[in-house]
Amino acid sequence: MSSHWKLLISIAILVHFSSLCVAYSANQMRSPLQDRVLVFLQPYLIGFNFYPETLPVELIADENPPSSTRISISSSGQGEWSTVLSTQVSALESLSLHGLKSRRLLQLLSALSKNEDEDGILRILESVAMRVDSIDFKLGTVDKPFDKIRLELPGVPTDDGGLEPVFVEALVARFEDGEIGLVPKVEPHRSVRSKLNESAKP
Amino acid sequence: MTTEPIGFRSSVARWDQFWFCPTSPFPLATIRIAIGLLACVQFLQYLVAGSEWFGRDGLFNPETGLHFIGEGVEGTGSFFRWSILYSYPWLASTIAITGFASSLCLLLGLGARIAPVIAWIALCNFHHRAPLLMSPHDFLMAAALIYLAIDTGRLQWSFRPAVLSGDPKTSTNLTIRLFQCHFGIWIAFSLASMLSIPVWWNGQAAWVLIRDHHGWFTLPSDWQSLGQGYTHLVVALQAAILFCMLQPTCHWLGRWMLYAFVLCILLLAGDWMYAASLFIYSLAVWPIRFITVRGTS
Repeated sequence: MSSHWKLLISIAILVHFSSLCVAYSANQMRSPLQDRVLVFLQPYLIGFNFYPETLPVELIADENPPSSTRISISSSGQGEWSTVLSTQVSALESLSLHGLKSRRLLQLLSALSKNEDEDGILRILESVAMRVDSIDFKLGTVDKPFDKIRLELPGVPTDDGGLEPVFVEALVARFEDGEIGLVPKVEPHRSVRSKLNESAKP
Repeated sequence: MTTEPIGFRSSVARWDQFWFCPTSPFPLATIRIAIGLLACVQFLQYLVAGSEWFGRDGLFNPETGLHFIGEGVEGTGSFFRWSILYSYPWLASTIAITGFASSLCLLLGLGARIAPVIAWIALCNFHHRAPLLMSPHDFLMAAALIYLAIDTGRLQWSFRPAVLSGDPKTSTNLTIRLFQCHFGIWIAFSLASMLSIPVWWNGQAAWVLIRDHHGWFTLPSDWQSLGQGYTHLVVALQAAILFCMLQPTCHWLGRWMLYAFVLCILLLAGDWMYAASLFIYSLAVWPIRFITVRGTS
């Protein structure tokens, strides 16, 4: 191999690993300089899929690991909620892509809740609601058409050492063209946070 | 007798030796086979669940995907998310089949450098479709396929004599070195990340993962101190792996540290694909020779 080729390859190696280091080190927090460098490197890092977005590099990526996070549906007149997605999957499910993506999605919802991004949460819930509506989904005693969907999050610690669950609940509105929309319960501009009703436990 | 180059020249010579010294393709062939196998499994999973997640009426439909990549928002880099699944979500199964076929070629050593490139394009279509749903192993897999496009460590079948032959090549060494450096950087930042997040350092995160049965390890929920012990063990293992990588005399120890670390990931997080990806990357540092060589060309 000629020295010119070696020089070119050496420069490419240095640029590649420097870019990776900038991307990985900026994963949790980033300085304004890092941010500018990352924006400059976006065509390379994102285009070639080296950019870990906002996912930290450690084993399971969240400052607040999800615990008992789940998405459930229900229909009016029924107090029971049927779980559609949950972080608590069986060992067999955790081997599958569905199990891995479910946990990832619920982890994302947990992070959105922490950042009070209700719009983002409702978008995902709407997508899940449309999926459930499009398939022959039957869980528990809930029959189609369901008209309520909610996200249950572990919430904040209580005085007695437990965790008070947080709910983000929305009503499912069906339009004439078959599309589905969500209306946040109680307040249209904010998510609903209420205490767990014992009778409403899934 | 030649004199030892000093200073800058010495560094250049070492760099040259590290990156551009011809190497036997057998370690890289092992990595290629393992990556091919893992990619086959992953594409089969995408074939089964790809439409369920990324289809028109998927759990994470195209509109939601576009929202979360920040489409139209300056600085998010959404322009560089080139997945065709946003526009053609019904192609998920076709892309998964294409990816599986190219991964199979990679596994069998067919298709030379084209196979990893096609597998990478197929994989990136899924990754770019929902980057926030990617797991750590997705980044490792995508990078591995790019590195294998430089050299696949393909062995030549020769029937006279009936042996596998592989001539030492510079491109083989370059590819193995890329795997090694990427692995080292990954472990270093994984360690730094764990040390910088309080809930990891105080063991709360590990305890919650154990309590909620994320991994293959179940314990009573009142054993909180075990979470701390577990976290400290994982941190120590990562530091030990880095140390052993840099000390050739400790290579045998590094391999066992790596096995322990991979076991911890399985028991704690249950992310077997991440564990498998790390193990495959570590083969560049601590190769396992399962291909028997009865001669050389």
